[in-house]
Amino acid sequence: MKVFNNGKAPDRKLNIYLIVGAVMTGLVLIWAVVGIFWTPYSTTQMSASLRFHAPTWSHPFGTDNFGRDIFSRVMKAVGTSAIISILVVAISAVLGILLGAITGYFGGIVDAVVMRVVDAVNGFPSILLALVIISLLGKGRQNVVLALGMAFTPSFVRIVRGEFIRLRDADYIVRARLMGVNKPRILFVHILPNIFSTFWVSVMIGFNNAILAESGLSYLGIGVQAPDATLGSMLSDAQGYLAKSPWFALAPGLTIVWTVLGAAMLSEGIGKLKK
Amino acid sequence: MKYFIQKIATLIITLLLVSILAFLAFQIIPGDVVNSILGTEATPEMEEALRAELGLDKPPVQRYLAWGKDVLRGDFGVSYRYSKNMNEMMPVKELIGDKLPVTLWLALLSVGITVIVAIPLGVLWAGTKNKFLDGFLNVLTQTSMAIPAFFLGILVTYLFGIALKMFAPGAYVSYKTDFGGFIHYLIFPAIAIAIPKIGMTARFLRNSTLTELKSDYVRTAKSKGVSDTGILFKHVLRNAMLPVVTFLGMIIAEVVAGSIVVEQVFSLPGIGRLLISSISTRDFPVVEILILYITFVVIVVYFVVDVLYRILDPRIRQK
Repeated sequence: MKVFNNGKAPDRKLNIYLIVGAVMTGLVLIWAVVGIFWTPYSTTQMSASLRFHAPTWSHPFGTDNFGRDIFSRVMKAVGTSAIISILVVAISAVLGILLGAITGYFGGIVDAVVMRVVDAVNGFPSILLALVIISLLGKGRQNVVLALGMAFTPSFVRIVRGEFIRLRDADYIVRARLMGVNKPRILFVHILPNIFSTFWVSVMIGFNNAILAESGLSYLGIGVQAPDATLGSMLSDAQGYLAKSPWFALAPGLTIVWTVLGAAMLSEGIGKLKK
Repeated sequence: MKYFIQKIATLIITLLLVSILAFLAFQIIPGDVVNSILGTEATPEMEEALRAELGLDKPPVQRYLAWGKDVLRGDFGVSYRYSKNMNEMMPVKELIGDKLPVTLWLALLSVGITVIVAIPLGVLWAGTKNKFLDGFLNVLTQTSMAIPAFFLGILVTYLFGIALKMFAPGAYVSYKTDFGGFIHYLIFPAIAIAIPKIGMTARFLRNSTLTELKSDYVRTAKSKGVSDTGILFKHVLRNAMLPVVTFLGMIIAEVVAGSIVVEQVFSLPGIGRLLISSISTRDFPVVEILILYITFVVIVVYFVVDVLYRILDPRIRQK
């Protein structure tokens, strides 16, 4: 077994992750955006004669237990999941930047208190935390966004805080301070742009976790409510008919895998690009 | 010693904070429990009596103190929804005690599978020079992490349950009636939980091994003529395993806290499912205790990992 590689960096080649990730993510996004405006069939129209059809040319993913076209429903569901996940990441990233910047730069008592809370919350699996928040707020689309947004904030706070601690005593920041630059400007004009390379990777990871958490919640029946299609609720419906029509579960399931895999590869590609 | 006292103090303070937050959170939300238990046909006298029985006629601070005192004494209160028989309410302690073995056995099995598969896999991966194997493992582990737990559960159900007929999907066997059958049924949800964890742990171990391989002591050992295999097993792995221990700790905490989704897919009556059902029926005494349980598990596991770390790595002890 040869394990020693003399500390040499591997050969620099084409950034496959970036290309494959971008193509996969791009395809899903196009599909989702089209799905918001147009689907080949109605997503809610039921038909008794069309129940449990196997995939055919006119219904590429088959039809479900109510005779609805699965292709159209998945298309719509991807859009819903993507919009929810983007909002979740936006909320948690903005809150994370604000709290992380303040705690990381100033430290002190505020930092101690916020970090205790972040530690306590971080220990909780995020889907559990979202569940508890939803039990307080009630079900529904807005509350899913709020709950997941709150549940995801601590991990962003942690990352942003770490970066601000790393940069707060850098020479150019010390000089800016001596020149009398005001604090908000130091925080958001001098430091913030320098953490984006690290930050983008966590945004992509956050997006993935949001997709998984959202479909998890709707699988459990506490996310977006019927008759709106979501990937999670479609899987939950399909589970009962697994022996009879496995493709019913396959289409929404593989769509989630495709989306998450694409975003994961894209974030790895971006990470490699920075090096 | 000072370190331990400090850690235990943090543990107590966090539990206290979480208990206050959990208790208060469920006080401020709208909806009257008494109404929803008794229904619309209850007389005001009946409502008054139940309210007094549940202690809901007192102010919140007083109620928190009373509740906290009871919890410390080991009395976790009664569930609003489950009843033992017609006139007796179900104690939360019995309710949870009933579900706990399911979650703990599931956790044990899935963590066991993860360790047994992931550690050899990670070492093999770090040691391989085969480009094809490296790429294959990369795609495989990446994919395993991209599959959500419920879809993985469905795939496992389809493959082992429907196609291979190794177990009957949904036909959970209670540990009280048939322990062998219980473990047999649990193996499949445990596989579903373990697959992404194996992917993560193997990747993690591989990366930490590769980092260690670049360090100075490896070059020294190499120049002393130690074989590559010897370097890997005697020197590198002892260091590379350290971050993996932390990582495994996080996984254990997560699984013991209740694999909500997988328990749902395989209809296992564990902690996770109890949490879901008590949240959707607003059975707050149960939810509050479960939140405390999960917080407790997470903190204690992290604490144990921290201690283990100090035992394994003398460098940290000296700091």
